[in-house]
Amino acid sequence: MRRLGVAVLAGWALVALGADLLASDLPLAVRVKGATFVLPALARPAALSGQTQGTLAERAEWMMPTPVPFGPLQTVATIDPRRQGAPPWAPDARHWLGTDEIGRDVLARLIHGARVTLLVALGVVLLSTLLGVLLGALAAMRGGVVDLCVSRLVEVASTFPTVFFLMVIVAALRAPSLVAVVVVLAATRWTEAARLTRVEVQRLDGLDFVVAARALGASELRVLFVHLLPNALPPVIVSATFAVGSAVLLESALSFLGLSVAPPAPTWGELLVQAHRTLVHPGAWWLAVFPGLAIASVVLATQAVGRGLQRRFDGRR
Amino acid sequence: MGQLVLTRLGWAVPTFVVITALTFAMAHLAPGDPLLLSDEAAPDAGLVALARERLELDRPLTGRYLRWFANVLRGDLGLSAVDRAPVAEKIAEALSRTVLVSGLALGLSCLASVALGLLLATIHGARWARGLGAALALASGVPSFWVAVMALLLLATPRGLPLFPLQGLDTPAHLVLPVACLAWPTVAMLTRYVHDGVARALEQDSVRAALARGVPARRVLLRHALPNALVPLVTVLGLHVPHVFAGSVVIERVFGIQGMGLLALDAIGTRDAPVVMGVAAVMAAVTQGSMLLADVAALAVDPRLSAGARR
Repeated sequence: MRRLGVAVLAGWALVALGADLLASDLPLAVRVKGATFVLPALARPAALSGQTQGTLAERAEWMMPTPVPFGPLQTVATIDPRRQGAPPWAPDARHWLGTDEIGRDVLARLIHGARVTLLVALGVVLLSTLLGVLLGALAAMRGGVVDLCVSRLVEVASTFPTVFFLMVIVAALRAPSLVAVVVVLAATRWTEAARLTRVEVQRLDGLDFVVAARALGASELRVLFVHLLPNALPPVIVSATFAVGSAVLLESALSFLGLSVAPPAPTWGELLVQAHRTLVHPGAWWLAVFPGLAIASVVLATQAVGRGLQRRFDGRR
Repeated sequence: MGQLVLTRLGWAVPTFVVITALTFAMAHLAPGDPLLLSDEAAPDAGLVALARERLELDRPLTGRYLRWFANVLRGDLGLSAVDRAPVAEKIAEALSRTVLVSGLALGLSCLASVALGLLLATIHGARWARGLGAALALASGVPSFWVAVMALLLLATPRGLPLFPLQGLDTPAHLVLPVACLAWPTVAMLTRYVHDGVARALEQDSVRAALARGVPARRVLLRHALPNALVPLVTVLGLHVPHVFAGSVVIERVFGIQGMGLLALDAIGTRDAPVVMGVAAVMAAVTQGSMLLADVAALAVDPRLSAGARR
């Protein structure tokens, strides 16, 4: 199970990293009128502006197309101009996962959406874990008023409904950038890491090896970073792994509400908005099924990896 | 018990103030002018100035917050900045729908998770117990709004079996899908707690002693093991109430239910600060109230806690 989870996550990470090579409006390499362009999808040469793989296929001497020959933002006007009937089009040999209401290729948007969704999830988990570990360690080392304040903050922040709070903050930002979404989500998700770190550091602080380090004249910072934190981290790492999954869930819920990274940037939650909008008319099932499966695969994979790590760390103890 | 309630209330008031003050600042400092959001041509400058004064948009923030807070204490939530309707009325109407849906969802998840948890604990070791456990793990990883969209697709549109209505909240049939979808992740989470609790309780000597005395297994399970398992459940449930409440935003959006979530979403979109603040006050009160309830309920089901508090 753990292997499968790691494989799924690694697969999505590769998809996110290579999104422009997997699905783009420009080919991997092309030779037009004697000029050769390599990876125009990344370099975006001016000579090819306004061109798509569809138009280039007719004009180029040779062309090496991307596996999915569409960009995430290409609409009906450039994607399939000669096609009969209005989108959304059902999955077929050309659009493997179908298209949305304005003809955008679902597979291309899923691939590029992986980039946004995973970047947000990873950023949120890294930032919130860092914040939580620092605050938790501070509370445990200082004790007294600092501890009381941090503990109360954890209690309040972890019970307050994040979705509502996020709605207000994100709306205050208006069309938030990716960084803003990450910071806002991280600001509400640090409590678990803080709680775990605080408990672990408190538990370790009285143990002999820490007392010995102090007796040898180690500074507080050295005790914290060299002796306490490395031993306190395993439960934090386990919880951070699970947190990746819940960050993906939260980000997709937010973009489903139209409150995440601004459109037309593709995110998995935004794809489900399309599905919801077309429910009333033709019932385009492919719009609902594939983004949902993508979200579920990432969440379940992180849970499998998290459980695997948990078992491994527990065995060590 | 009384002392605990007092301590909780003592913390609840400052927490309420901090949460509402933060929301107040964000709702009012958000870019975008409520008077200039409409699509009509540039409004008359004099009228804008008059409205600005009536809405107190040019006064300092702290004074406005204090006045808002004083009004809330008197039960006055003010008027909507958009249509001048009393915020309290809007909230009462939306709240009734949200309470109905999330209340039913919470009730359903309690019943379902106790039943499933007991089932899992009794069939421990059976082959399909693992299957059921895996299914629950699977359920917790699937986003509830996706389940909701899929449920609509399969059970409410002509493409599937149109058994249920698509949008709104007019008949009992309208309730089935939203309640089920909202309960979904909670059931997956709570079942784990019940199962763990019952399994741990079943290993205790008291249970073995009861079985040895010849108490029927069913009675041991329901009278000895289950009450022990309910102690953590009550606390978890209390802390989870606000999340179910807030989680209903997405469900309300999917099913077109005009509840608190959609009210907040619309108010945020139109920069209707009084309504946003009203929702924030209700959310903060619900949060603090359910924490208090969780504590009191934990005391009620676990006499050891009150014994410890007395000491």
